[in-house]
This record gives sequence, C-alpha cells and structure tokens, in this order.
Amino acid sequence: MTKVEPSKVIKVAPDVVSVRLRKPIRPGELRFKDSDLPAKNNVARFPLVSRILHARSTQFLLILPNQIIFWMVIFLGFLGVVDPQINFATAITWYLWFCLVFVMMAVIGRAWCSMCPFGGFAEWIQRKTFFKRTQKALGLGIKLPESWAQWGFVLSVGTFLLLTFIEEFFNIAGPGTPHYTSLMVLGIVVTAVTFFLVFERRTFCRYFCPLSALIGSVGSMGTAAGFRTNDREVCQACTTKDCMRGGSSGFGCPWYTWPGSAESNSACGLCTECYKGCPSGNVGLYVQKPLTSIIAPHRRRADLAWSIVLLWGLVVFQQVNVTTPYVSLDNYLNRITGWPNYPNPIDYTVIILAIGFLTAGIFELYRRAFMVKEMEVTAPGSFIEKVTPFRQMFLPLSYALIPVMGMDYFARQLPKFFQHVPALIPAIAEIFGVNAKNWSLVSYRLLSVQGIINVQDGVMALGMLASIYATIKIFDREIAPLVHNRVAAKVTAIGIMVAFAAISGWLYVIMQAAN
Amino acid sequence: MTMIQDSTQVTVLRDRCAGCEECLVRCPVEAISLDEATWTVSVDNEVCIACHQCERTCPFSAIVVEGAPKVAPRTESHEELPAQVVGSLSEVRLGFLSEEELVAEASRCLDCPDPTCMRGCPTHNNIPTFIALARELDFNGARRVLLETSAMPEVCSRVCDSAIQCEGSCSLALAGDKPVAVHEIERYIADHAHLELVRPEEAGLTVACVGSGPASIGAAEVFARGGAKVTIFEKAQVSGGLLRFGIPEFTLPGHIVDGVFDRLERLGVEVVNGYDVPISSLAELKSQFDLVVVGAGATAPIPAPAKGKDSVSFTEANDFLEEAQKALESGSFDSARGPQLLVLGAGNTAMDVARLSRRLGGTAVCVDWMDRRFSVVRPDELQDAVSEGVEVLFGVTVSEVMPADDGRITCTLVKTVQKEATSRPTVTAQVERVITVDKVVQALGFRLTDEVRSEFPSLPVAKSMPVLADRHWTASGIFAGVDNEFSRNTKVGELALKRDRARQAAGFPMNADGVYVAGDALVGPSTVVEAMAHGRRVATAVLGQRGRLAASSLGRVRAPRVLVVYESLGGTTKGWALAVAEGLANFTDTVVALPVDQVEAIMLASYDLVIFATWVDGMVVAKQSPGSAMLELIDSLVPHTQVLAGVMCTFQFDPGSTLKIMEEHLAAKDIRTIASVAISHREKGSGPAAFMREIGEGAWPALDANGVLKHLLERSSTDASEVVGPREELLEALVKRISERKAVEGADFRLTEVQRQATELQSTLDGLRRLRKIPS
Repeated sequence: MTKVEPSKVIKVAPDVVSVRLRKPIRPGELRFKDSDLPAKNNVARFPLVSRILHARSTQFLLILPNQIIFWMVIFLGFLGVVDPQINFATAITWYLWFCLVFVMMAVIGRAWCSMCPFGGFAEWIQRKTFFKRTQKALGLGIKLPESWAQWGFVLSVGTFLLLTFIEEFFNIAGPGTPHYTSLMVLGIVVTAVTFFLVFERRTFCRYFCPLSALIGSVGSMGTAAGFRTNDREVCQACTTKDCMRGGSSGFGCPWYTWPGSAESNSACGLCTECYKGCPSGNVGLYVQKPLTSIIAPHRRRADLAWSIVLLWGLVVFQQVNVTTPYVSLDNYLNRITGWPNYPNPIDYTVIILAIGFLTAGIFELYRRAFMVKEMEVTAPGSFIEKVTPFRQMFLPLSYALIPVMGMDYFARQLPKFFQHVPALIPAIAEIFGVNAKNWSLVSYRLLSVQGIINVQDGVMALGMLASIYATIKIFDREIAPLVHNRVAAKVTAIGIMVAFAAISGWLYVIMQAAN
Repeated sequence: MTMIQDSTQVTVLRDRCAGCEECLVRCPVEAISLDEATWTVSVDNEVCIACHQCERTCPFSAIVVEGAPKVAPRTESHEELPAQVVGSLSEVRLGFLSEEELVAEASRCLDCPDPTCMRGCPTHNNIPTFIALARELDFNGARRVLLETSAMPEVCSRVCDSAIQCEGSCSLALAGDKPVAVHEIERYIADHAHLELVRPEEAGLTVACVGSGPASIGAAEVFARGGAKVTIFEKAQVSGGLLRFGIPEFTLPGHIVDGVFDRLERLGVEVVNGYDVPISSLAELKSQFDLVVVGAGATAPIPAPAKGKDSVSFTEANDFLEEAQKALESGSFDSARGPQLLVLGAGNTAMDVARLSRRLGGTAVCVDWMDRRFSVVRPDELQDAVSEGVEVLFGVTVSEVMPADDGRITCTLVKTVQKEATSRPTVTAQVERVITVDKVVQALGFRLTDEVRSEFPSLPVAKSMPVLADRHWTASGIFAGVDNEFSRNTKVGELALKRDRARQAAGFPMNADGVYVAGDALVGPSTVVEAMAHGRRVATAVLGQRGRLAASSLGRVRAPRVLVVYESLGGTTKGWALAVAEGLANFTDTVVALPVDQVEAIMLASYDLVIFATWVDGMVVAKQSPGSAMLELIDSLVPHTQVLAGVMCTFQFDPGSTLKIMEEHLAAKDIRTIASVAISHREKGSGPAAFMREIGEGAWPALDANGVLKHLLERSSTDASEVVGPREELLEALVKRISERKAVEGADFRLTEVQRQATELQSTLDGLRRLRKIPS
C-alpha cells in the first residue's frame, strides 16, 4: 500500500460544530532543533515495544513487584530480626534499592518514577483502578496554588532535605533499627496517598516527592528522552489534546508535560499515558545520547537550577559531616541549643544553604568577570519566570554541574553497596525462618575500603568529564554570546566544574580516613 | 449594574504551562502571545477582556483570570404586558425596537474562535457570524446564515429557553456575566430580513412527513431545498401542530407560524391538513413515498395522581389551550364567567394555560410539587404570569379531588418537602388550602403515545451523557463554566451535549423500510428547536448518504464517506487499518480512522462505509475471535444503520473464525459485509489489494470514475492494484480520458506533461485489464 503524503485520513473524530480556531504559532526552525530527536530514536516503532506501551497493564506490572517488596519492607521492618544487617527491610532498602535508584536515574532518567510503588499505590486509589482508564477520580482534585507551584522542584528539594535530616537524626539509612525504615516507608506511602486524595494528578510526584528534584536533575543525564511528539505539526493542529486532558484510552499527563513541547526528560514520568491517549498515534518513546537533556533544552528552569545547587549542598554536607571540624561544630551547637544528637538542625541547614549559595555565588562572580554589560537582560516575574543577569549565567552553569552533583550522590551510595549488599541473601533467607546471621555473606565485602575509594574517585572523574562536556556544549550555545574573552571564559567555566569534582573526590578520601 | 471593570489580572502558571496554545487559538481578542524562549504563553492584561475562555480551556489549568468580563452592559429587550389582560391577544415580548439597540447588543459579542454558544444552540446556529452581519445591518446576509441551520428563526427566537441554551453557553455567561442577547438579535434579523428562496430542481426523491410540528418543518425544509418532493400530513385542520395550539398567541403570534409554512410552500412543500396517518399504517404510506419522517410529537399527557380523580374529569392542557385560543381569536367567550382553574404543573404549558385563563376572564392557581429552588419554571414566564394575576404555589400538590355543586371540583392542596434538586418531593399531610374550581387542568408533561411505543419499541431515545464527553466539547470549555444565575445555575454544557447526542441519533432510520422518527416522538418531550434540529438531522443524513442526484434510485452517487475503526493490541492492526484508510482516501473526500474506543454507535449515521479492523484474540491457534471492544461496538450498533461494512483482521498464526464472527454479528444488525480479509503479521507485500478491489466494487458508485482519474493524474505512479472502484466503468472512463489526452497530444508535437500522463493512464488501463483476469 503506497502511502499518500500528506495523509488525507482524519485521525481525530470530527467535531459536529464548526469552529474557527486561530492558527497556532509554529516554533522557529531553531527552537526545538537541539532537543528534537530523529525518528530512528523512537523505540515505539518496534511492534513489540508498541504493544507493551499500548497495554494498559504495563505500568501496573512495573509497579507490582516494587509494591510487594515495599510492603514486605514495611512489615518485616517491624516483624523481622532486629539486626539491621540481616533484616530484609533495611538490607534491600539501603544496600540495594537506593543504589539502584541512582543507577537508573543516571543511566535512564525517571525510570524509577514509572515503577514507583509509593506514587503508584496512591494513584491506584486516586484512579480507583489498578490500570483501567477510569473517568472519575477519587479525592478533592485541587490544583496546587500558584504561590506554591511557582517553586517547582525546589519544593521537592525541601522535602528531600527534611527526609534526609530525619534519616540522619534517627540513623535510618545507617542502617539503624529496622522498624525506623518501615516507619519511613510507611510515612511516605501515607503522605503520598494524602496528597493524591487532596490534589489533582501527580501533584505529589511533581512537586513534593523527596526524590523528584533529584531524579529530575540527575535523570537529565539519562538516555530515556521520554515520550515526545513524532510530528509537532500534528500536535499543534490537534484540537482535543487528549494527551493533556485525558482521552478514551489514556489519562491526561499526570506530570503536566506535553509531548508537543517537551525538550527534556526532567518532567516525564514515563507513565505511557500520552502514548496510549494520543488519537493520532503521534507520540513516541525516544532514546537519546547521555547528557542530552542537560545540554539541549532551550528553556532553563530556575527551580531546577536552584535545586541542583541545593542538592549539591546536601551531598557535600554528607561528605563533610564525618570530618573532625564538623563533629566538633555539631557537638558544640548541640550543647548550647540542647539538641539531643547529630545532626544539629542549625548546622545542617546553614551548611547546606551555604554550599548552595556559595556555588551560586561562584557562578555570579564568573558572570561579573566575563559577562558583557550590553547582553544583560532584566524582566520581572514570579520566581519561575523572572529574568536577571544573574540568572542568565546561573541557569546554564548550574545545569552543567548536574553530572558532578549526580555522580557525587551515586558515589556516596557505593560503600554500602560494596560492603553490605551480599548480606541481602541471608536477609532474604531470614524471611523464611533460616537462621542466617552467622553466614559468611553477612560480613562479605565486595571491595576493600581502598577499592571503594578508587571506584568513588573514578565515578567522580566520570562526572567531571561529563560536566566538562556539558559545559563546553552549553557554553558554545548559550554563554559564548554573553561574554567577552570567550576562551578565558570557557576555560574558567570548565575549571569551576573540575574544581567542584576534585573537591568532591578529595572529600571521599577524607571521609574514609575519618571512618 | 456595572459590567465594565478595569481590574483584570491574568496569571499564567508558568511551571505548568506547556505552550500547547489551546488558549491562544481560542482567545477572542488576541491577548495571548507565546514566548518562544520558554515556550509558555503570556497574557496582555490591557487587551484581555476577561472572558475567562483561556481559563476554561487550558488542559493543565495553568491560567487564572481575575475580574469580570469587560463588556458593555446587556441591552435589555422590551416587554409589554397588556394593560387589560382579558381578551388580549397582543404579543408580550417585543424584542428590540430599534437598530441602535440591536447594534449595541451585537457589539457585545466577542466573536469567539471556538464559540460555545453554537454548541449550546440545539441546532448549532452560526451565532457569531449572524451577529457580526447584523452589526453591519446586513439582515439578509444574517438571515442566509441562519437558513443553513434553522428553518424558523422567527419562531425559535420567540419560544426557546435561551437562558439554558445559546445564551447560557455564551462565553460571557460561562464567565458568570450576562450573555449576549442572542435571541433578540436573531429575532430582529428574522423579522427584518427578506429571504429570497429559490425552488430547487426536482430530484425525484419523495418524502412524507407525518405531523406538521417543528420536527416535520425542519425535515421538510432541508429535504425540499435538496430537491425532494415533500408532503406534510397533518391530522388537524390547520397546520403547525404544537406551534399553532400549544403556544399561545401572546408568545407566538399565528402570523409568524403562517410565515414558516409560506416559505415551505414556496419551496414546493405540500401540506395536507385534516389527514390522519395512524402510526400503525406507516407501511402503507411508505409504499407511496421513498421516505417517511414521523414527527407526530409526544402527546400522551402524564396523569396526575390524586385521590378521587376517577370521580371527576381532568382537562388536558393541550385541549384547553386549543379551545381557549380559538375562543379568544373568535371572541366567543364570556369574560364575566371566565374559567376558574387549578393547573397542575408550573412548566411552559402550565403557565400558558393559566395565562390564557386570565385572558378569558378567569382565574388560575398553578401548583408545582417541586420546591421553588428546584422548579423547572422559567423565571421570565413566572414573572409575567404573576404580573398577569396568576397565582403560583411551589412545594404544593393536589392530594384529593371530589365533585362539588354545579359540576365544579373541590381540591385539597397539601404541602410537599424537597431537600435536593435530584430528590423526589415527599408529600405531607399538611393542608395548604382547599379550593373549588371549574376545571383541573393537567400540565405535568407528556410522553410518547402507546401507539408510537408499540410501533418503535426502542423509543424514546435517552438523552444521556457519555462516560467520556466529546473531546471537542471539552476542549471548548463549555463544561467548565461557573454557576450563573442568568442560566439558573444549569450545567449548560452537559445539557447541550446530551441534546446533541439525541439529535445525532435521529440520523438513523427506525426500521428497515426507511421510516425515520424526529422530535418529541423520538426523545419524548423536548423543545421546539430540538424537534426542528432532529428533523433537519434526518434530512441531512439521508441527503448526505445518497446525494441529491441519487433521489430517483436511492442509490449512492457520491463516493462513500468512510470510517475505519480498528482495535489494535500492538499496532499491527492499526498499521494495516491506516494503510487501507490511506488507500481509500485517494478515492473519496472523507476517510476517518479511529481506534475502537473512540467510536460510538451514533457516529455511524455520518458514514456510508465502515471498515472494522481487529486483532485476533484467543489462544493463538484456538478459540480465536475479534477483539472484545470491537464486538461490543458491533453489538451496540443501531439496527438499520444502512452502512456497508468491510471486515479485516491481522493474525499471528491463524485467524480462525474471526472474520466469520464479525460478519455474523454485523448481519444481526442488518449490515452487509462487502469484503473481508485476514492479513498475516508476516505480510510484507503491497497489502490487501483484492480486499480493496472488492470494497471498491461494492461501495463506490458506478458513476464515480472522476475521483479515480483525479487520483491517477495527480500521482507520479499508477499502480493499478491501488485503484478502487467498479472496473467496468473505470475502464470505460479511462479509455475516454486517454483518447482525450491523445487528442491533445496530436495538437502539440512536444513531449508534454499531458502526454506523460496519457502514457501512464494507458499502463494503468492495461493493469486494470490484467487485474480483472488474474485477481491477486
């Protein structure tokens, strides 16, 4: 069958009432040039993949195993053995899962979000189904007010900082007492369900999930571009927008992302709903080169940029917190404030914010050193929209920092993995009543301390190289037009990234020495 | 009343705005622009007039508009209650009295790009366009626009409950403000335009309309303009049905109704009054006409439950209305001894009965058992009735009646309690009062007669809201309006969509004989404009299916309108379905391809050929069957849809009986399958050529070789296997066309484009000959 181009087949049910809609504004040639991907990157063109993505049960089947595991975590944390080393709840959560999540986000993107048992469970309740397309949601369906929504991913950073503080305070991920892990997981489930019943769609995941900003930023390194339009013209001409509003086959995007304008994977939860819902079959699942979602987007989001530096502040804090000067400071503050133990909320907050703002400050100094005055732009607006000379430089540079920050988080999870993950096998055996606490696997280490430091520094070196690459690409497109002395500016920008990565790598050496 | 406010504040929630431009393409004043850098929209507060349409249509709820619409105050129309009610026949509502008033009100119209008022209008009048022309005082132009969708704008603009229809759906009303006075503008146009109607050339199709009410008027007008010979049969001595006697002169003057029939007669419609066609003898009528449209209304009154009603005689509202109007028109009534009525109900009819009673010098008490807050009474009618001296009691019903002296009736009225709009009122024992009246008039509504029900058991068609509302309607924002006192806090969007689905259902014949039903007879008690829209739908569906030139044979002369429905699991079926759709699209103007979950039975009235494509469900090599959703759709089809079907399936190893099952289910709905094909997943060839050929032979009209030729001439390749249509005629047409081309070639010795095309056509011709001999 020879296809006629352009297609004369109408693929959206015709409207019975004639309308005279204005013509939408088409993007210029360059607007999506960097983020649009070639058709060969669309894995949905393979029939098997297409079949899987079309099936309504796909996401359910992804969530189900994790759902079972995390309900086991909740119950076994309370009911299992007290030794966290061989309790299933602590072993799987902190020795394996947390590490795997970072691998997934760095390599794929929001893969975890597509199988997350917390949002998944809450969504089942909100939709009143495991996977069918229902038309009426349970709950109040309130929109998150703009006064909150404008902070975007920063809200998620806030909840991540809070959760991390709680985790550090109770030594949950140490891991400490297993039932603390259960309580934490249960707390996340209860919070998620509450948010899903109060707010519409995945407001919780988009704004409040503690991992959302982390996955949204670090995941930008990943190779899953998410669901994108196959032909932007078709999306723009579409007058029903089933992918956004929800259609007969799919729910409206729970993440507030439109495939027609998506240029990054940071807010695509890979839930497949737009793919299922598009009446024109115009949505594909695209893969991309690593770092594309860091380099390619033309819209740099202020909330994501601030999230990056604040998350960077947190991970550096978690490296600094084992050093002697920090321990002395923390003890001192606890004495004078009467706070019972590590970490003191004052030093916790101040150090993280200080590192975040210091990073932003370094970028600002860079701007003052190199930016051409005539290129400065100022436009008022809310947090998410305003434009300032500071932001002109801060936004692209903070994106370039993502690989260093992301790899830092990843490297930090490695000791637990290499030192303790074999204990997961006896922990599983314990579930079935086998006394496995004396098994050699309990204390078996995959790598020596020095080996771990080497891997951590290797990971940081990888992050550094990725940041250098991202910096070069971002500089050439966005920063070069703003600065004088471009060579010096470029070298300095690269130097800043190298310095951040080097500090982090050095801190791993210090950390292990302190341990 | 202050409508103009300067304090418009529009906030775009940029975190959520995805730059989809749904707002931008619908903004009436172009206040929205797109920032290409961030790919989000911005709104100019200075330009914005706060119609809130962007807020209603944003898929992600990313726009917040504060402030009331910045439009001029509504120009109220004129109304003149008679100084002396008794004996008055004068029209109460007068509309606009000057062009200045008209232009002032017309200037309030925003000319919305996605006009929700058009969806709210049951017949989808092109409201912004006729208003724009009226603003320019081009009344004839505006009237021509109305002609496309309405057979009687002068009637609709007088009797429609516009507050919950077009005006309730106006952007301004959805924003909580007073809407544009659409009806007053429509009325002014209808009353002031001079419409030149050209009697069309007769096409041979003969249509009988049973009843002369709005449904028949709507059908007759469209059929007649399409060249059909239409005869309206009315059992009464005067034509007009409900319009003539169901609506009093003071609301709809008789000369207005006369005007409608004058127009129909100018179009060649014959109206036979005093000719009763029993529903049970429609077959006889059908034997004399190609088509029969039943617009007999819903005339069985709903009886009032009251103790002792067997001992007295209740009067039917329609009987009273007819008698009273006749008495008023002839002046044969004694105003000193006017009727004293108890009217059961407070709807349109009840109000009309009560007000006519007052005009005859009588009194009237209307009782509505519903609470005032939830009553269906129109506020304007209630106000007029009360002004004229009618007493209306809400939350009251009659519990007992008994004969009194002089043939009068004593009625005990008791109170009712109703807490919610959706709950049924509870009758209490608390007596409101006991009154004695001359007559008790039942005006509790009507339903289909037993005669209609027994002839068409599937009636009435329910006005139901689908599980998922039509996506275009949702996108327009009509469901997202705020509560508005003007529209009585009615969910106008849902009401309109329910109405429209019933209207679409009118496009199907009710039996294999080609008898259609429209208006109240189709859906139960509705409105004048709905009934007219049903009638129009019947006519447009019939003419659309057959084309006016087909009238003599009732065969298709146009290429069919094609719907390809597919149920695809992994995309293979969808791929083949779209390939077939693309192929067919070369030979007809309308090919729509939709997944099965987006297709409803009522949609089929707009198509002539439906291709049902399914994956093969089952255990790979056993118990194979069509997809469950596909079978559900086929089983839900309305019988007598008169479409042709093609069935196809794609299979991995063995299609089993999939095609046979589909054909059997279609046959159960009287749908003929003209071609079927099972395609293997391993099929890599040029596609189901034989299937396409059979479809072409079976569904394309014999005379439509032009489409094929056009296709061949426009394309660079001429693959004969792709050609759809009856081979004999195509061969003939191609030979003719080639000889024409050769003639041109002879006149010009250079190698021309025409020459190249002629050569290609020659090769296609050879291909067609081959294909006839060796079907692949």
